[in-house]
Amino acid sequence: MAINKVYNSCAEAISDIPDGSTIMFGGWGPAGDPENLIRALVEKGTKDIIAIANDPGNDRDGIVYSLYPLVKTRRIKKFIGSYHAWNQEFLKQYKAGELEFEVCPQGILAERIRAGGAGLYGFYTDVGAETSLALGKETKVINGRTCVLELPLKADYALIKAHVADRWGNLRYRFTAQNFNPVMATAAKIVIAEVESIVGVGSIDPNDVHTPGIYVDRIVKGEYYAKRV
Amino acid sequence: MQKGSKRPLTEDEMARRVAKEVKDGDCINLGAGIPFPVVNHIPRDIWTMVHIEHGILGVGGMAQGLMRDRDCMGLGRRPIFTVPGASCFSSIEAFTMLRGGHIDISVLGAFEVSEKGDLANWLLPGECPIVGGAMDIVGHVKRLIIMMTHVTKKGEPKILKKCSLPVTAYGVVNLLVTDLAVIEVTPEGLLLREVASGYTAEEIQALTEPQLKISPELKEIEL
Repeated sequence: MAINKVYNSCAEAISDIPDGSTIMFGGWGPAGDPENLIRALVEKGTKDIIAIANDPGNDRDGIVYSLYPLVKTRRIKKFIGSYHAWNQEFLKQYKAGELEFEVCPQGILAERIRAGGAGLYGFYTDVGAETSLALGKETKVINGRTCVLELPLKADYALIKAHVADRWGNLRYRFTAQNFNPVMATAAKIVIAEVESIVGVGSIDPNDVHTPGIYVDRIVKGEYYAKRV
Repeated sequence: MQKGSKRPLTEDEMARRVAKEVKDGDCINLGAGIPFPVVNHIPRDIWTMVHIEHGILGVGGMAQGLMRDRDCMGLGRRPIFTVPGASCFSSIEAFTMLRGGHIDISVLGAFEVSEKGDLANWLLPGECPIVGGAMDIVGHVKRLIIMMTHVTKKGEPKILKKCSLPVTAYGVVNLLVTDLAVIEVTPEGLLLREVASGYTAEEIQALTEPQLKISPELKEIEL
């Protein structure tokens, strides 16, 4: 067994991410949030990030999740996502023109990432076709409906979070922690999975694997999970 | 609700009224904000599954105490619990259910609705857009119910001849449940079916821009 994807720390797992990288971040609130990798990225100081995620996170009720620490430290220059999650720091930077926001309907965001990961060059949809989000997009009438062409999304890195990984990178999630994680695992050059435990190859039943290890490049056990929600 | 007392419905009462629209076997998607509490009022003697857009079918309600699990999140990033028969999946699967027309009812909030069922719920002038999953849902779900206050905080109608705000999608709303009335969007226009306790059809009309048709079976909202 020559291949070893397991890293000793989140800091080590993200140590080569340069400034200006396009990075996908899985997670929906605290569910499936790669929070230890994000903390390590803040400490490393990577900046000018083009971030792709459902939302930029928040610190509401004292619970910090998702991209909030990166927004707060002004490391994101462009955000591609579905809404602002009432992140006041994000809204402040957006209104001041310091942060670019490409708005994408949530399901279309997922499908654009899927297209990026599945070798597709785009797809047509009527979602948002009657709004200003359609401006500048190619249109086509299909079955009597005006549709817009949506283009694929890819990234240099994807930071994702699962419950368990085996040492080859087969992943299993709990409850709503899947969200964007499995699809993002398919669409980045380097996929880094943070997990709560790492088990031996063969310990996860093949029928229970959500993300096959083929997509995963690096595995790391998250250092700290707050007892919060 | 005391019979005859004149007052608008509370948000919880609106949720109770919306829950009465759910039929045995329905899968129902609930949006963030005032729609989500509908989950607490769905009759227990029928089979239904509540769907949320980030990957769960079979939401039971808000989790309390030791049941709060960081991996089991609902809307507003607050923990939920599941019902027997629930399933969890990715965002891809969650939106396949919505866009693919597999979900029977979706309940969303809105800024404005027009007499043709046009919906405006994503962009206020000068504000950062709020899209989320709504654009994927409207126009694809089998039945769209909008839950909102009947008028703005300034008392101006939110049910208009034509939306003044940027539209999310045209002709997609099927039913409106407000704090004052239940109004169905029909090909012939808006049909006033129910009014809040103590209100008359004329009073509802005065707070609604387009002409309402009055249902011959007009009644007070029953909870």
